Amino acid sequence: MRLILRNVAARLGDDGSLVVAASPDSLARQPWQWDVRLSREPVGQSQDYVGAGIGRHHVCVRVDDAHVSAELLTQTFDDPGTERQTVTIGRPADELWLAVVETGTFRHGHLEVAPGDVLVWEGGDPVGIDITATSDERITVALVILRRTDGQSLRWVP
Amino acid sequence: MYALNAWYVAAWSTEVTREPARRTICEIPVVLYRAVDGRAVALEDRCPHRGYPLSAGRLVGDSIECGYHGFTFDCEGVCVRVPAQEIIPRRTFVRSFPVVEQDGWVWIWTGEKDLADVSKVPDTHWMTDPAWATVTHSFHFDCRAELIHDNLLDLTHESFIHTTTVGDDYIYKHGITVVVDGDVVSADRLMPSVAAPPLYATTMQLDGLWDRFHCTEFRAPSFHVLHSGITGEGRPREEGYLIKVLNGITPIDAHNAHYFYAFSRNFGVDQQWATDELVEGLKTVLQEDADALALQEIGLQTRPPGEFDVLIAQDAGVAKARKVMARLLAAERQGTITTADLEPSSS
Repeated sequence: MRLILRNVAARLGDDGSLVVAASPDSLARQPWQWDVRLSREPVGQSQDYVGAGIGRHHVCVRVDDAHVSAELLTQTFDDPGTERQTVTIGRPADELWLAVVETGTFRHGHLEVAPGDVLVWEGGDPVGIDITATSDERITVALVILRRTDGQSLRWVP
Repeated sequence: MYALNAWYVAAWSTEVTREPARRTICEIPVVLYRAVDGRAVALEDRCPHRGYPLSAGRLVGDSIECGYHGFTFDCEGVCVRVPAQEIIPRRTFVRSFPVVEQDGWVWIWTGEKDLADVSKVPDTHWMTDPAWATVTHSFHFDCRAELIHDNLLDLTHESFIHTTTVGDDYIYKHGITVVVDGDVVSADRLMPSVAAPPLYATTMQLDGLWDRFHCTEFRAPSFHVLHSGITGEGRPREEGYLIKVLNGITPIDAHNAHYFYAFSRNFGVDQQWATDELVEGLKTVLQEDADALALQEIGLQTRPPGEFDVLIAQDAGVAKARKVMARLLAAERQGTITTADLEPSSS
């Protein structure tokens, strides 16, 4: 399953940050697993989350660390120049990946993706993430990699 | 509770005539008719005198006359005649609704008139494009409108409910891409190298393996465009046999909905036999949905408080659409529709 949230789809969190994705996504259905927030400044206590300033934002990843671990990377794709080629990135099917697009525009499958968009990939479809730049601007994303601590597959819960 | 600041399909154009027709939309009784110049008119279907339905009356020119005591209202809902006296009491008016008629659909705006933005009426041009042929159906669904939205956003049910027409096991084996963009939620599924389902194989006259796709685009709160079709393996969708399924979902009340359905295709456009096959096949599909959702409605009405749906990743579109609907409803709760908003401007 692949989820693309345009920049207007986020909700405002209690601490003033923007909750761009969460699992579960609905209230009080199943135990809380994780959420990803954006803010201008770091929020809360740093020991409670994985966070980093990326571009104009501070990305904050909170997890239930008894069950989920998080890794936060800045992923940059070199300027493609005039010959734009599709880059395919392999994702293990048991990991849930989330990308916050900071700069650049690209085509992913048949969809156009732009700064402010948030992408979530989980499960076995797709495990190959293909990206084709559609402008000369360098593509920069905050990439969040989430795994279950027991080694099983982490699925997104609506 | 309904999102009232929205366009809802009220009827097909052919249903609105010089005979008044009653329809209930979001629990609002509405009478539809055509003025002498042919434009569609929508008024609240309740005479302010004694609550009698205006739809049980008759048209007099552009006006409608109540069949009980003859109170008469113009196209704006202004009372222009009270037979028993010369003075018309100030409160004698009925609410009128903004109406748009486009491509064979009659839409009404049920909320604040000032917010009625014609540009927000969904695109349905395939209905009148000569390059496309269209089959339509109208159904009453014995369920809340939300269940139809869920049904359209999670098409894995086709594998189980519609086995003889559009279903196949491969549907639920393929994941979806869900895009949330403002009030529009889309759920897209590509099924590469599969056989066409029975109804498509017959009407498209094809066999072998194809790339099948369907993308439900929900324009909250009332309309879905299902971009569907079959194309050659690895080929662009635009090259294929294309289908646009247009679904107008209009709540009647908390447990019933109108379902206005149109299936436009770009193949076999002049082939009457294909149209006949689709009329019957799609009627079967809709009846299967209607039967299933009626049972689901009963299940939900008898479900104990505190129990909720168990949603899975394939429900991503469903879950996101519910959030959009909740946001629309919350926005309307913050703004209040006052009596002044409902009064005709000339009163």
